[in-house]
Parts: sequence; structure tokens; C-alpha cells
Amino acid sequence: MTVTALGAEFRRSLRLARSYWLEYVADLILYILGFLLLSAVFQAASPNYGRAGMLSTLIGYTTWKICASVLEDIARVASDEARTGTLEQLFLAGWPPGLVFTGRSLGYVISHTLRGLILAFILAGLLGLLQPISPVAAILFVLTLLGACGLGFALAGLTLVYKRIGGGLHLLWQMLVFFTGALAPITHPLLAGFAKLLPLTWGISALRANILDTAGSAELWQGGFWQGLLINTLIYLTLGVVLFTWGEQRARQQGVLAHY
Amino acid sequence: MSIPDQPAIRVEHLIKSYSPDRPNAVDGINFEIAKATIFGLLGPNGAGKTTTIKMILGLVLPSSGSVHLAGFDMSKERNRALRHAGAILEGSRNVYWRLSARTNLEYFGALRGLKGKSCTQRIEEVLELVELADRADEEVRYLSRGMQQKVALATAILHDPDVLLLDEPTLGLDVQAARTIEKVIRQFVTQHGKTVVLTTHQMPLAERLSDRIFLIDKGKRIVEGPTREVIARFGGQRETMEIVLAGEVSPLILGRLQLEFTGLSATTNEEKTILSWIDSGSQKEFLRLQSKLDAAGLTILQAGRRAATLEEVFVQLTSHPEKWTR
Repeated sequence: MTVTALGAEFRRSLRLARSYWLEYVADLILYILGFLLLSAVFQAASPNYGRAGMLSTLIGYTTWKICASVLEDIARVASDEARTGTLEQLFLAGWPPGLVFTGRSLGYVISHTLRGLILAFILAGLLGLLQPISPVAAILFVLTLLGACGLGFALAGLTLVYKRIGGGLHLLWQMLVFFTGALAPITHPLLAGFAKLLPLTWGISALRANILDTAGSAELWQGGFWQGLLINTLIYLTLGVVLFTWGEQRARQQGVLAHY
Repeated sequence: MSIPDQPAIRVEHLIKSYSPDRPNAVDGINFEIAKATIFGLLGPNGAGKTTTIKMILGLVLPSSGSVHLAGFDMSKERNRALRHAGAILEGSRNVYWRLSARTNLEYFGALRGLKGKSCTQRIEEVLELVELADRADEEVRYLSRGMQQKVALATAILHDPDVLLLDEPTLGLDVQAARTIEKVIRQFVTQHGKTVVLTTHQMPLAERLSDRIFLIDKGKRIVEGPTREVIARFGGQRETMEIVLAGEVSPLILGRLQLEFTGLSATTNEEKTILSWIDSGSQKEFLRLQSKLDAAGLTILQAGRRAATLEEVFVQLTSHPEKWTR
């Protein structure tokens, strides 16, 4: 798929964003208010929360917000396109549909990441939480995002066949907030075990270790963060490829691509 | 480039079954479409036209059989084949309503691999062609139904495909918009040597445009051939009797007449009713119809014979499809 086509995908999402500007503004306000509210609650609950606690929450909250938004948008591509009556035209582009969806996903990744990180840096600046970000942190973030994309593709594949997955997405959204340690690190051993199976958990822990505890690449390896994150990302990416390919094939067999 | 010396489309033993409990949606059809022709794929609702179009485009997978598009086997080289095809699909918007016509064209052009100046130039060309240049920067949702369909057509021909598949392209359009689309389709074939597959319920449009027609019902082929030949074959021997009656004919009387005289159709307004009937040409049958009309108290103003239309042939052939299905 050409760079031109990817560029077109990105421009298309920006133009649509202009058309749905109210939704975007509401989303930004919710993001800021959500973080301030959470910090206030944690501060009230624990006097030791302080600056480090707030930064820890900001790392988890921002990573969750970006990854979960990308995941949800990718999962909804098929149903949204079917509803707008353009899904079949994407399948007629003369490229493998997975590649077209990847182009679309790249648009979501860039737009959500830019919006999320800009806001996070503004919040960190205003609250005195600014911290230098290392290239290692950037790699950890990208790997975490890739895992989320993988799960997004898996859900997109299911959407092509089963159409409505709103309920499942809602449940997943809740799980990603509460069980990945996005808001606060998970300490309960049973929950911690379950959390490691989800996407984001490894990434958020590793990002906290890197940014808050200044753990370098070697220390992250010794702590098992790299291995855990890589395996987790690989599993979700594989799941994404397998379920998307299956869903696409099945939808064409059943003749339900355009249904919604 | 499409593969030379190959038909634009070749369909062989195509079958689609959505469920073993239901009859096949498409049941073993075969056809070849030569380059630079307009191929009318016609049939009543549920005949299997849309499924056939979608199987040609690889949007629905056949249960068995094969499709070659622009010389490429759809089961093996789908993406290469699709680079030679454009389509408007019935029941879909086909374009983004929240973007302008120009932005839609830029987006789909880029997705089809067009870029830079050549893309901008081509966009201007197609906008002119579909008579939308002056409305190109308005969001599609604010355009009329006809203009929206023109945007869809512009998008479908933007990358200069060899084959264009149009599923009900003029459905719900006013006369002007329908004529523009008809003009573009004709130009696309006659001036550029492209191929068009057209499905429509508007028989006059199909008759005017199609070089060949393929009539399908319940997934099976009823008849195929050059449009003129099909009309001559099924309508020519049985000329159409046109009878003009004074005033309206009640639906009850009309229903009884249609039961008795197969292929009888009527158009009516307050002043007169025109009965069209592809008859056997026998005087006896005409006299029988005349006596029925007299008995119903209907006054014949005028009666005469004219050549049959595709619509009349269509009605005749689809009234008893089992007679013609092979």
C-alpha cells in the first residue's frame, strides 16, 4: 500500500474529526477532568500519594486512554464503515483488506497518540510532573500500542461476522481500566496474575519502572518486563491477524460484508 | 493493464448457496462479457443479480464455479483484478457523506494508487464529466440524491477502470440526474472502450444502453443474447397489441383480464388507459379480448400493433420463468 494511500487515510480522519469536532472536544474535557478527579480521590485516600503517585497515575491513565481509544476505533472500523455504506468500497481498493485496515489504524494511532501525549505533557507541565522521556520509554509505549492494535484487529474480524460487539467492547474497556493497573499498580496476587494476560498491563508496569524508577533497558530485562511485554504483544498481534483473516473470509462466504 | 485477448468478465458454473435449507441464490450460471460492451444483467427482485455482481467483485465468495475479471482469476488474483474494476453497489452510499465530493475523490484516488498532479487533474476531469465541478467542495450529505449518486459514479471511474459494475445506478434519481449517468456510461464504453455491467429494474434504460442482456430468475439463466435479438425473438413474433380505452379501468377488472390474458399490462390516468399485450397475433384472441372489454363496459378508442419493448419481453419471460430456464 502506497504512502500516498496512508497519507490519504490520515487526511480523511483529520477532515472527519473537523466534522465531529464536538465529540473530540468533549473527549478532551473528559480526559482532563477524569485525571484531575482520580488524582484528587487517590490524594484523599492516601496522604503518601504525592508527586510520584500522581505521575504514576498519569503514565497509566495516558497509556490506557491512548491504547484503549485506538483499540476501540480499530474494532469499530468495520461496523462504522458498514453503517456509512463504504465498507465494500474499501474491499474493492485492490489491496488486501488487512492492509487497508492497517492504513486506517495508522490514522487512529497517530491521531490518538498525538492528542493523548500533548494533553499528558500539558497536564504534567501544569502540575509540575514533567520528566525526561527516554527512547526506551518510547519503544515500550509502541510495543504496548501494538498489542492493543492486535486486539483491535481481532475484534474487527469478529465485527465483520457478528456485527454488534458494543457490549463486549464495553466490558473490555472496563477491564482495561481496572485490571491492567492503569490507575494504580495491582498488588493482589490473583488479580496481578490475571492482569498479566491482558494487553497494556506489561507496558504500563514497564513504563512506570522506566520513567518513575529510572530503570534502564538492562534492568527491565532482568525484571522480566521486556520478555513479558514482547510475548504479550506478539500473542495479541497474532490473534489479530488470525481473527481478522478468519472474519474477512467468513463474512465474504456468508455475504454479510455490507450488513450492520 | 488487463490481460489482452481475454473477455472483460468470464463466469463459469457459478453457484452460491447461503444455506442448505434455501434454494441457491445463484444456480450454475455461465456468461462471457466482451470488452467495450454494456451488459445488462436483468431479473426480478431476488433473482440473484446483486449476488452475482458481488461474486464478480469478490465481495461474496462463490460456493463453486469461477470468475475471471480483466483476465485474472478472482480466487487467486483478486487484488490485481480489482485494480481494473470500479463499482457502484445498490443499497450502499459508496462514498463518505461527511466529506466533500472532492475530498472523497482525493481519498479514493489515493487508495487506488493515484497521486500528485495526475490525481488532481483526473479529479477535475471526472467532476466535469458528471457535471459536479461547481458543487465539488460541498459535503456530500448536503447534495441531492442524484448528485450523491454522481459522486459515487465519479469515484467508481476515477482510476479509469477497464470494467465498471453498476448495481441499480439510477434508482430513485430524477430524469436529469439519470440522463447524466446514462450519458457517462455510454461515453465510458463508446469513447474509451471500457466494459459496463448494469443491473436495473428500469427496462427502458436497459433497452437503450445494453448491447447484450442476461435475464436471470431464481438464480438461473432465463435468456441471454444481444438486446435487439432477444426482443425480436421473444417479442417480435408476438407483436404488441396496444389498446387505448376511455377512462380508468378498475383494478378488479384489470386483475381478471390479466389472469386470462398472460402478459397484459396497463398504464392508466384519469382520461385513458393503455393496455399493452404481447399476443400471438391471432385475430381470434384479439376478438376474445375485445368482447371481454365490451362486456366490462369499456370503450375502445384506438387499437393497433407495434414492436414489443424489452419491458414487455421481461414481463412475459419472468411470468413463467420455468418455461425458459435451462
